[in-house]
Amino acid sequence: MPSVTKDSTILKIAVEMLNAPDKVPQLIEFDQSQPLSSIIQLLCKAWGLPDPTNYALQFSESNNQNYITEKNRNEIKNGSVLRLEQSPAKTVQDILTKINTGTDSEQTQALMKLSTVSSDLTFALEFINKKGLSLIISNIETGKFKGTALKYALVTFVELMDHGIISWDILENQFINKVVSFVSNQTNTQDPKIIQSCLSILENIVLNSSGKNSHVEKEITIPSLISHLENSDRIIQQNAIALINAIFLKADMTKRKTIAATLCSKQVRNKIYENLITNNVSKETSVTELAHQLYVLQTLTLGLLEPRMCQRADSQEQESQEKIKELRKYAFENDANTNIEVTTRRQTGSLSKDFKKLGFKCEIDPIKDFNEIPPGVLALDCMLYFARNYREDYTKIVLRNSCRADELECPFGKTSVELIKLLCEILLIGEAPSEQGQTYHPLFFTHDHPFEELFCICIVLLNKTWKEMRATTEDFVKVLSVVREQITRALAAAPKSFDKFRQRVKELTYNEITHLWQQERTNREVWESHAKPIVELKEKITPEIIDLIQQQRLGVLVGGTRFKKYLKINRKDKFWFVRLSPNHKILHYGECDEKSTPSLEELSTKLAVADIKCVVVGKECPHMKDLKGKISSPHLAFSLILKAAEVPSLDFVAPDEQIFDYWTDGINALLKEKMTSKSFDNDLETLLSMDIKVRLLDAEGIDIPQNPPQIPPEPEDYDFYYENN
Amino acid sequence: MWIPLKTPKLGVAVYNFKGDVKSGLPLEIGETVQILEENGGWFRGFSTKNRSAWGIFPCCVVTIRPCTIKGSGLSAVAELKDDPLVREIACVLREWARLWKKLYVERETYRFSAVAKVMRELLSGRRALLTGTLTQDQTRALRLKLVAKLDWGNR
Repeated sequence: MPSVTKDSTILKIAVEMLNAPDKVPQLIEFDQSQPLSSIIQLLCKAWGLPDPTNYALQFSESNNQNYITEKNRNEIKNGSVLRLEQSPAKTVQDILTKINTGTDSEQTQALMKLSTVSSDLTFALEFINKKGLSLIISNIETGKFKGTALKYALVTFVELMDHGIISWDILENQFINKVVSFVSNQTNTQDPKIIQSCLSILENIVLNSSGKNSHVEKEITIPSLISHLENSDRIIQQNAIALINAIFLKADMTKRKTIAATLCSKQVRNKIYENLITNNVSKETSVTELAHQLYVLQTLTLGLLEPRMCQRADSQEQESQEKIKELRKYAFENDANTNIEVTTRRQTGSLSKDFKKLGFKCEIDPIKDFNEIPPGVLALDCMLYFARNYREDYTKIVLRNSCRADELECPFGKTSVELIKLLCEILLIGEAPSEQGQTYHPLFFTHDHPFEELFCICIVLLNKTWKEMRATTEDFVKVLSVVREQITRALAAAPKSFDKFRQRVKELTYNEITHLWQQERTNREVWESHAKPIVELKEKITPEIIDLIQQQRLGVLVGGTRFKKYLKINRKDKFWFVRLSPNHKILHYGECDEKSTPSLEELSTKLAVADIKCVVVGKECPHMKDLKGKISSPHLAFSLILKAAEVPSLDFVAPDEQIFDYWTDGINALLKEKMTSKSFDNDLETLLSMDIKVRLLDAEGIDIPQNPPQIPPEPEDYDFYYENN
Repeated sequence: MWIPLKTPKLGVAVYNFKGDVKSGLPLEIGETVQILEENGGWFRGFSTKNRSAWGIFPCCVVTIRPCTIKGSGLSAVAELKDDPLVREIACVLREWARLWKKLYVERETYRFSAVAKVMRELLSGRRALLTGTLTQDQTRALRLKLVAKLDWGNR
């Protein structure tokens, strides 16, 4: 079929030429099987342009203005508008000439153009091949470019390097020094673009070069970068943080600690908090990148806790021994007491009694409690921080638990170790920052010791939750799982301060958490009731359930019902009774009084089910026309229309909605029609949902897959191991 | 090659399987299967509701649940390793569901709704026991309550 091949290779497109009013745009058939050069030749011919080799085609979409090459030409779509432009080679040549020999303004013009086209890979390759990059580098290095020209040169450099074709190792210290000098230059007003680019260049050198990072670290100081955080330009702030992160990431442990100390100092912290977090209005698109950089910074800072977390306490080690002693001192030595008492008590052998009160697992030698990693000695550090800084809370917790009935106590030592472990897990301490991460906790920028501070709030929380749950020692795991929920949910709200966090966890009581869990389970159940396998199962068992409802309805009819008679002339109430024969073939009916339940034999009039044509309800009933306005509830009326047209219908008014529903359903069932009443829907739902619940008993707590599982190819053989019995 | 399991396993179907392959065992979601042997992505076994019909089904439509084995060899019976009360409630609920439908057809309206209420309580109590978020005290209290409900229904 030639037309198909034609359609797929020949596109109808338009080609225009910018800044050339005399060149009327051409509508051409673009043949994908023809080389680009011959297509360009034809275009040039039509416009009377000499030297077709000097021209190339470009896309003209707002997000894509790249040159069209043999590689990307398949991106052209039917109806595209393309541009005929100067070819990359010619453009490079023109630009290089202007940079080398042009006037200042020509140079700036050329660089401006260069900075935009450099993002096109085709152009960049051509430019780099013609030694353009080296020229840009040396002119930056020697300070030949100034002002606007410098800005475009730096942007160009960033764009060219961004293609990843050239290694960052080509840069010399001289270039780095120059770039650093632009960053450090705080005196005169530089174009923000210059600083943006320079920060980004330095970040890339630190991250991507194989040895120049130490030079950058030496040249640039963290404080000078910090000052850029106060810049009102969002990109500068972001790039400055990114550069700090890069230096942090590449530094060794000692250097890291120094950097962290600078960053955690109140002054710097406040700058970060005020400039980047408080003023971080989420309207801007760059917020995600900034959030990522703050996340990286926080991950790196928290990462400094890792060595402590992974260090076991050694029983020979003096430092940890001292810390345990101090913990004991804060708990049991009130200010009036002197050391003498501690000594005497020690002599009386109450040391292990004290350790028991402190809730250590190992009362003889509590240092063993810090043998597990994580959390190692980090737990001890945090406990001591708590004891020192929140002495009142600390003694309250220790004393309260040590005088409780044994199985109700919440041992401080043991629970603290587990809590620290939990916090390390929640904050992913020790994990390298991920490429996508954006979650940071603003409150961590508000304190010198954020992790320790978090622990102090959470250990109080743990004790409160323990009490709320009226937990015993064996419930520890459950308490911890509730505490985990409390902490993660409170942190997820991104509280801006520790006070806000404290407030939030206070509100998230045990009751609140169980309520939320319940809610989520209900939501999940609702979701599951719409899950595909459940819907399939429902459809499958629905016929059985409908059969049950039908049996029930026919049962109602066989049991019979007393209806009130409505007559045109108002008289004393009269009643009649209708009953279905047990073989479901005949309706028996006759008059009765208010209380009686006549038997089948007593009802003299009969109507064969086979004679019924259909059932009509409400206003459609014949008797409703006669009795208009006399019946208070016309919606409870129904009539059996008979097949023989000359015989009048059998007209009913049900005493209530349920009987109305049961009878109309029953008659429909007899006529093999669908049951349609509200009661039918309710009964179906009640029976079906209980049935499903009972069928799923063994699957309780197991997740139903969102998507149908992939059925594997059939087994290779059917030679079963076991004989089928 | 079909490789026998050292000891049988129990799985619960998490999806419906039509059984439209040679020797296939159709499964409905929630159905429990005892697994005897496996071959690649397939298991062979039987549904605990009909132990004589054996067939194969994809591993991915079931989730393996911990179980205890009574007996050995082909006559071994695997049972879910749930808490005895949890199992008892499941067993009772299955039985009641049958009787409950009968109450419906017989128009025993009052008993029908009373039983439904207790069944729902048992269902949610059983779920609470299974999620394991209750403290020991709460668990003990719930157990007593559920046992009382069971006794009520069995009367």
